Amino acid sequence: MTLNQTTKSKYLKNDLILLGVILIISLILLPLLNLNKAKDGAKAVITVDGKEYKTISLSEDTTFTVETEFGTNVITVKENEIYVESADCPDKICVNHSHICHTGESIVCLPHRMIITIEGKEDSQIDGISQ
Amino acid sequence: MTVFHNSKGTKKTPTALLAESGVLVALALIFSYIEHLIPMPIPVPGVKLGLANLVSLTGLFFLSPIQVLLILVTRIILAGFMFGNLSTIIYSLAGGLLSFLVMILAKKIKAFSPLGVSILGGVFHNLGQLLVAMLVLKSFMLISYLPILIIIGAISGTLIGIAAKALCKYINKKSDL
Repeated sequence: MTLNQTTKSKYLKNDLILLGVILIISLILLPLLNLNKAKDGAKAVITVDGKEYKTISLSEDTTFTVETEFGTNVITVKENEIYVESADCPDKICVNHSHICHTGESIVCLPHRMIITIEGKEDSQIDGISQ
Repeated sequence: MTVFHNSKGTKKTPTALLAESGVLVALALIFSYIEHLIPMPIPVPGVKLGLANLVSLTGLFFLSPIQVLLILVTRIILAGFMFGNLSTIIYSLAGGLLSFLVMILAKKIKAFSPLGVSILGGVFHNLGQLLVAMLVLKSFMLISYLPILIIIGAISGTLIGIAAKALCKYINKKSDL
């Protein structure tokens, strides 16, 4: 009986049905792939003179002004990146800084004592050993 | 030693069984080694062809399940120590044992050829690994890998199944295993 199972081709039909069913199941499950992205809400924390000024999500595009006693910076969030669009500081280092988007990156405007740092969500780091 | 007899019902001596199992473990180890050398084009952890499964799969049709299980576990532990680490062994054991159980059931119901049995084995191997990964990393978010792993399991299962089918035909003609 077992030997027949290895040779007869009538089982091929069942095999193909099985393959089809598995592919359909995986296609139905495909939306699960977005699970990681949807929750991937990195945040930018803006501090001025060591105190937290504002926390903003990088998932929504927006432009706002940070106006303090030290000066004014216009900050823009666009396509999950954040950057300083313009500022009235003397050196413009913060404006010339590249756009940042990864956890831990930061933009510093020294004259205005302003720091933008990107923080990831706490429990999002999928990290492990696998081979 | 009544548990050890082959599909045709003839008994083998313990010595013959030992020799046969040893040769098959060696073969499976060589497959593991070859596989270890082939880089996988997809950047998803845990994706591999599963060449060594060819031994378990073909074995299911010609040897007793217990012998196949012993060969499988021996191969995973040895390959783990040679080419991997402890976590490799845990993941491989989870995948290997789950796919072994499913393949035995799939063979028992006599609805599938080695190809179908292999596809089920491939899919459930990946499912087992994913479950253990979720337990070890305590992260339910890994479930997002599920659709990819099912598809990849089906693909590698198909490839190995085609090879196993050809192999089974050949053994049927030739061998007195």
